[in-house]
Amino acid sequence: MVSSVLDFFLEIIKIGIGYTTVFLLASLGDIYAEKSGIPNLSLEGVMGMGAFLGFYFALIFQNSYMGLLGGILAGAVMGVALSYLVIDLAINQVLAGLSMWLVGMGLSDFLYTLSFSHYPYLVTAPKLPTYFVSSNLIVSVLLNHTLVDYAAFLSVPLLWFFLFKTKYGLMIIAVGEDPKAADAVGTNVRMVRYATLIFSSTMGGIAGSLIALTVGLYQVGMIAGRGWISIGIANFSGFNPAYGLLASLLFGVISALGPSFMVIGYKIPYEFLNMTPFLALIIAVMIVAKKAIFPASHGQPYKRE
Amino acid sequence: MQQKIAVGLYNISKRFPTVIALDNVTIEAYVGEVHAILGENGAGKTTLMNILFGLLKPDAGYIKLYDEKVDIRSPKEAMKLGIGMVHQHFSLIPTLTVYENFKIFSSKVRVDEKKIIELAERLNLKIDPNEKVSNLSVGERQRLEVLRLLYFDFKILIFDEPTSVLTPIETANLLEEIRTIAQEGRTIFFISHKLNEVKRVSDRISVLKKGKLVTTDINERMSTEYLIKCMIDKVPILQQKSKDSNSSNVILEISNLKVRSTKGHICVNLKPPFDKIKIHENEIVGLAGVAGSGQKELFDAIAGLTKVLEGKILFKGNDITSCSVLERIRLGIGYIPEDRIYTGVAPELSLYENFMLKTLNNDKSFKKSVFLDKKKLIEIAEKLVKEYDIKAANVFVPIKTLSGGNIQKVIVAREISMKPSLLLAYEPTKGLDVGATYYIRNKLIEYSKEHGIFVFSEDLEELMSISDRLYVIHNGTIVKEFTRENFDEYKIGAAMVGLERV
Amino acid sequence: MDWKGCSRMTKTINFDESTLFTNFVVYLFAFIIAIGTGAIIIFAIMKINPFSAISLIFSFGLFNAFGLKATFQYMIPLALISLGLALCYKAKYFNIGADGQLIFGTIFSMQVIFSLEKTTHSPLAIPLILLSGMVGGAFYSLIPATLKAKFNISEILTTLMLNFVAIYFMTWLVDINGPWKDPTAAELESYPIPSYYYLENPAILLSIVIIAIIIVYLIDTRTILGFQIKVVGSSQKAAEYSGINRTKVYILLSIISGALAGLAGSINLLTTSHILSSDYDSVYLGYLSIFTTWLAALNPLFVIMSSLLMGVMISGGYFMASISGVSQLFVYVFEGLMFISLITFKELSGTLRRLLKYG
Repeated sequence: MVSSVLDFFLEIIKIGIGYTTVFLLASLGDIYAEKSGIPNLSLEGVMGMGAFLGFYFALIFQNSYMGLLGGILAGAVMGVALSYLVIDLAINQVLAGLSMWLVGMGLSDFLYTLSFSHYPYLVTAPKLPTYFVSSNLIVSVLLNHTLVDYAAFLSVPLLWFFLFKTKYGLMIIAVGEDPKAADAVGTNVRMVRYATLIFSSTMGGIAGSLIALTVGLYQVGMIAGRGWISIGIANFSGFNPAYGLLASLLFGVISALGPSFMVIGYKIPYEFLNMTPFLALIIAVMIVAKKAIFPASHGQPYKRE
Repeated sequence: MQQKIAVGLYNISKRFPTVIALDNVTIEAYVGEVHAILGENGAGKTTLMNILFGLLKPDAGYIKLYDEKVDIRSPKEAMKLGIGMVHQHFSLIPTLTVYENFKIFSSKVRVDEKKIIELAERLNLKIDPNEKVSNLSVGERQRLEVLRLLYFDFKILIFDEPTSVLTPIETANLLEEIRTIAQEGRTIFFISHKLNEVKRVSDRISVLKKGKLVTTDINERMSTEYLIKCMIDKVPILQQKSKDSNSSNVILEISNLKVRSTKGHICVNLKPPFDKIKIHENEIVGLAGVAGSGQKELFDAIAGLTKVLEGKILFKGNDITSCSVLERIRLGIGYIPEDRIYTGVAPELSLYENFMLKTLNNDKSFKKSVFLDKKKLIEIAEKLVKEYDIKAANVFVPIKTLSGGNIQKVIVAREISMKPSLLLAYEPTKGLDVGATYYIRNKLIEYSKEHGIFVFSEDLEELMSISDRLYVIHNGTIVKEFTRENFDEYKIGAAMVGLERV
Repeated sequence: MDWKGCSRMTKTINFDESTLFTNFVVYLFAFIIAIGTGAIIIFAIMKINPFSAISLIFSFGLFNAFGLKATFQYMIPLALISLGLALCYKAKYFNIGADGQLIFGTIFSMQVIFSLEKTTHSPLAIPLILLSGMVGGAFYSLIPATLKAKFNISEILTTLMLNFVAIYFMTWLVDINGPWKDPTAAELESYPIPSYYYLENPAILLSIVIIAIIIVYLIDTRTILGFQIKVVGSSQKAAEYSGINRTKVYILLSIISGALAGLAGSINLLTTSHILSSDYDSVYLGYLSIFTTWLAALNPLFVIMSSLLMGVMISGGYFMASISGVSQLFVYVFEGLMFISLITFKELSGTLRRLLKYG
C-alpha cells in the first residue's frame, strides 16, 4: 500500500521502467532503420509475433530466456521479409508496414487462440526473473529489473557510439542522407539497408517478447499500439539513441499512469489513461516539429540502373 | 618512347530504353596522361565514365587495366582497382565532417588527420578535419573530393565536368592541380563540354558525338575549329541583341531585400551601394555569381516561393512583397526554375497537363461551370508542341519520359505562352545539348523585345551573350553592375569571388 | 553488376493509367496468385483442400443468402471509405485514420438518434442521421489535417494515434460506468437503436454508394481540385511552384474522406450492428479499406469491384473460420497475406515485363 506521495511516484517510475524497456528496444531499432532512410512501419506486427513466439518458446522450453530467442527469431524472419518487399521490390512502405501489421497481429492472436483457447485454465509461461529484490523503494526502482532491462539500458551508449563514431555507423548515416553519394564512394546501399531493417525488426521482436515474458502471459491485442508509439518516439528523439532513451523513459512513465491510478482507485476511467501515450506523442511531435530533421532520403527507395 | 597504356575501354556499347548512349567506343589512356573526353551534353561522356567506374554495366565491350582484362561491377570494385571519381554532383555527405567523410571511404579503421592537413597544404587548401562539409564552399568541397582521392592514392582519376560550379580563378587552380597530379604518374580522364578548358589541360583529346567516337588525337594537333566541327553538326547562330529602344518602364524593382535561408542564416542581403535591383520592360538582365551566393533564394523570393525578411519588391509599381505565389503568377511573373524535373513540372502527369500547370489556377476559360474543358487543353498543348518542336510521342505521355532538353522546352513554352511581363530564368540551358541551348537562348532574346527577363547562369559566356546588363552577386550582396559595353570576363569573375568592391 | 530486382526508376506508387488493359491482366494474375496463397494457408492450417476452400468462400460469399448479406454489409462501408482514400492517396496524403473517423461518425449518429428518440419519426430522420455521421467523420479527420497544416506533422502518425484514441473513447462510452451503457445488457454495449431507424434496403444503400462514386469520379477527373490533387501527389514542389495551396487541398481531402468514413460508420450502425459495442466488429474496416483502395488502383470506378471482392473474402473467410472451428482472427492473416502476395506479384510482374521488353 502506498504510504506517501513520494512512494506513489516511485511506484509509477518503477512500473514505468518496465514499459520503458519495450519502447526503448523498439525505438532504438527504428532509429537505426530510419537513419538509413527506411522507416520500419511493421513494428506493431513484429512485436505481436514476437510476443506470441516469445510466450510459446518460453512455454515449451519452460525457460523464459528461450522465450527471448523466440522473439529474436520472429523479428529476424519478419525483418527479412519486410526488407525484401521494401528494398528490392520498392513497395510503398506504408502499405508494406500495414500489411505486416495485420498479418503479424492476426497471425499471433490467431495462433494463440488456435493453440490455447480450448484450455480450461489460463496458460502461463515462466516469467523473466528480476534481480535485486529489496523493500527499499529507491533501490527497487533502480535495480529490481530483468537482465533484458539492464541490457537495453546499457546498449544505449553502445548503439550511440556505433552510429556516430564508427565507420559502419557513418555509412548508415551516409546512406540515409544521400544514397547516391554513398553508392558512389563504394558503400553497398542495399546491404546497409537490409542490415538496419533486419536489426530493427529483431529489436522489435525482442521488445514484443518482453511484453509477454514480464508477465508470463499472452493476451490477444496486448501490444496495444506500442509499436506505433515506438516509431513516434524514434521520430521525436531526432533519431538519436541518447534522446531515444529519454523519450522512452518519458513515455514509459506516461504509460504507467494508467495502471498506477487504477491501483489507488482514483476515479479516472482507464480508457482516458490509456489514451495518454497516444495524445502525448502527438503533442510531443508538435513541440519538436519545427526542428524535425529527417535523413534526406527518408522514405525513398534507391535504384541503380 | 613507348608509353604504357593504363586504361583501355574497347568496343563499349550501352543503350537505354529510349536512346543509344554509346555505340562501339574504344579509348585508351596512357600512364601520366591527362586524357580529355570532349563532347556536347548528351554525347555519352558521363555514361562512358560511369561504366569505367562500375556504376553502369556495358551491353558490349570490355575494359583493360594495365593490359589485364577486368570486370568492374560496382564502384567498390572500381576503387579497389585504383579508380577514383570526382563527381559532378559531389559524393561528400554534408552533414558529416571532413574526417568522417574520409572514414566512410577507408577500409582501415584509423584515418590520419595529420596526413589530411599535410596533403591539403600541398594543394594550397586549408582544411579543418572536424569541420562539417556543409560549411565548406562549393569550390572547397570539390578540392576536398580530389584531396580524398589523393589521400587514398588512387592511380586513375575521373573528373566529370568539374569546373561547372567553379569561378574562373578556381577553375585555373583546378586545371593546374590536375596537371601536377598527372605528372606524379597518375592517369586522368577529364570530361567536359568546355572546349577552352580541355585545350588548356589535356595531353590528348577524344571527341564523342551522339554516342560515337569521332576522333582521338594529341591536343596540339587539333585546332579549336576542328574540334568544334567534330563535336556538333552545325554551329547555331545566336540572334543579335538590338541596341535600340531601351524602354524606361521599370517592371521590377527590388530594394534592401533580406532573405533568410532554410538553414537559418541571412543568404540575401541587398545593401548600398547596390541596394536596388531594377529590371526594365524590354531587356535581359543577367545575374552572375558563384554557387551558393544567394541567387536561388533571390529568385525564389521574387517568385514568392520564399518569404522575405526585410525589404520591398515592386512589380509594375505595386508592392507585391507579401503576395502569394498564385497572385504573382496572375500579375504576370513567370519562372523557369532551377529544378526542372520536380519543381518545374509534375513528373508523373502528362504533357498536356503540365502545359496547363499554372493556367488552370487562373484562366477561367478552361472551365465549363465547375468542370474542366479537356479538349481545349489538349488543343493548346498540341499547338505548343508543334511550335517548339518538342519531341514526344503524343501529349498524353507522362512528362518524365521526355529527355531533359524537351522537358525544359515544355517549361519555357508554358512560361512564355502565359505572356508574363517579367520572366525569371534560372539556369535555363544547363545540361542541354547545343541545339536546345541555342533555341532557348534565342527564344529568350526574342521575348525580351517586349518583356523583361531576369536570368541567372553559371555559364558566364552565356550570360554575356544574351544580357543587356549584368549584376554580380557575392555572399548575398550585389557587388557590381555591368552594362553590355563593359562586359569583361575576368572583371566579372573577380567580382564573383568578392575581389573587386566599388 | 546491376542490382537484382527492378531496374526501373524510383517510384513508391506505381499505377500506369496509360496501359489499362495490361494492368487489368496483371491484377487478374496477381489476384489469382494471391487467392492461391490464401488457399494454401487455409489448407495448411485447417486441412481443407485449397480448391474446395476457394469455391466454398466464393459460393458462400456470393450465393448463400446469409453470406451475400454479409458480403454486402462489408462492401458498402469499404467502398465508401475507399473512395475518400483514393483521392487522399493520389495526393500522397496518407490518411490511415479511417477507423477513427468511422467511429466518430458512428458516435455522432448515435447521439443524434438519442436526441431524436423523443420526437416523432419523420422520413427526414435517416438522412439527418447519415449527415451527422458525415459531420462526425469530417470533424475527426480535420484534426490531423490542421496539425499537418500548422506543424507539418506527418499524417501517418497523427491519424494512427487518433485511431487508438477513438477506440478508447468509444470503449469508455459503453463501459460499465460509461454514459451510454445499456444497464440491461450483459455485454458492454449501448442501448440498441430503434428498429424504425434500421436501414436495410439494398437498393438505397447501393444508390448511396453509386452517388458517392459519381461525385468522387467527377471531382477526380473533371474539377480543378482533382487536378490539384494529382499535382500535389506528383511533386509537392511543383504544386507550390504553380501556386497551389497545399494546405487547402489537404483540408478538403480530409473533409471528403472523413465524411465518407463517417458515413460508412453511420450506415454500418443503421444496417448491421444497430448498436455501439466495445466488441467492435467493424474495427479494421478502416485498414482493410486501404487495401481495397490500392486494389482499385486509386481509381474511383474500380472501387466497387475491389470492395465486392474484399467483402466476399471477408465473409467467406469468417465462414471458413466458423466451419473449421478456427478463430475469426484468421481473416486478418488471410487478408494481409493476400495483399502482400498481390503487391509482390504486381511488382515482380512489372520487372518481368521490362525484362521481356528490353531483353
